[in-house]
Amino acid sequence: MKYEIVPVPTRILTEHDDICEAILEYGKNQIGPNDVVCVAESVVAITQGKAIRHQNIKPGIVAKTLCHFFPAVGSISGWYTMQALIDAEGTQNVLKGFVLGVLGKLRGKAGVFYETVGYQGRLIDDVTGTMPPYDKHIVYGPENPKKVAEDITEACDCYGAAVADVNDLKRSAVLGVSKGVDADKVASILIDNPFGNGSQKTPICIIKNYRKA
Amino acid sequence: MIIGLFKILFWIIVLGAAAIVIYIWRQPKEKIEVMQDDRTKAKLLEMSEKIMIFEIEVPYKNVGGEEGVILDAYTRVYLPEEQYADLQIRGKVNLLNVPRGDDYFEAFIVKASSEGELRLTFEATPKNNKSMRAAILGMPNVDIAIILELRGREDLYSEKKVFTLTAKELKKFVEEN
Repeated sequence: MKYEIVPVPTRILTEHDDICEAILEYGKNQIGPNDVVCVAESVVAITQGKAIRHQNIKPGIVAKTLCHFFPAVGSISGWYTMQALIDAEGTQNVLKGFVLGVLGKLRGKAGVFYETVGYQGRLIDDVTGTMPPYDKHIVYGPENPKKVAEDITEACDCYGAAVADVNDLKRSAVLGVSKGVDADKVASILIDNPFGNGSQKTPICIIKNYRKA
Repeated sequence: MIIGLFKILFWIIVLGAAAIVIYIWRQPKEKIEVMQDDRTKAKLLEMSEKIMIFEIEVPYKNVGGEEGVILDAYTRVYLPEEQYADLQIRGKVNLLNVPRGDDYFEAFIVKASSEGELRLTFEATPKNNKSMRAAILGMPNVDIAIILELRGREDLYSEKKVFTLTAKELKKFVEEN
């Protein structure tokens, strides 16, 4: 089934913006009652104030040690992102994830650390992961994406909404959906990344006639 | 018996900690070097009676074993009024292959063993009712600093490299035009 997807460009949204108001400001005329409004997770996080500068993170000994055991290309390979993860998920949880991750690796199983640590472990973005002016920030995953999706649905008077994490590497994950929306189906519809490379400039996509299809 | 077990446990912890310290110490690090001595000569982009715009390219290289990040880059022109009051020079830094219309420097990952160029763009404006020609012909050599905010796995740090923009480089532009 082929769905029509309408990308909605906006100005760069910041922590001073409300995501529902921004969607209405830029996309109101294009959203119908059968549509699902999708929003890029990094932009939701930024509007929630989840982008943090290095200066506001104080790396401790656990972060300074553990980060060295992750590949340099990963988001949590540095002092600051590892500390940001510890601040979000707790020292004990991260240490537990690390120990279980090592044991998992010894048994040939990858990804145990991320499964154990939880939500922010998979979503935290290091610097350069987001467009300016947030390219110098560490950006968490959004808080309570399901509630955000419900709020968007109510504000836009549409069929539903989704908060999605999509990239150009054909990786598509839906973090939260409103009632009646199938997260896996939305993820597969968004697989070609209609948000584009600069998801901050096109943070909103509308899946037209999702309910009718 | 219990004391013996404690001793074994103690030594396991000590050896484990030592192994971690050695592992971290031996892990490759990023090392981003700005090669200001290999900079290009100033290249004229635009000149009028009010403004002269010129650019200089400065190569950089990550000679370390891991990737690093240039979080920010900016330039300072050391031409105080006390030294020469008839010319104001202001500059900005971009990556050569990422031109921008503003003064913002977009954070950039420098892979291990990779290299590139920083583009420094300067605007010179005459002051004290001097003509561009007079202001440039009277100017001295000027020291210019490139300041980078850098990060690898560990703490943020800054690198500051200074080179001299010779007056001759700019005088050539007014003499040729």
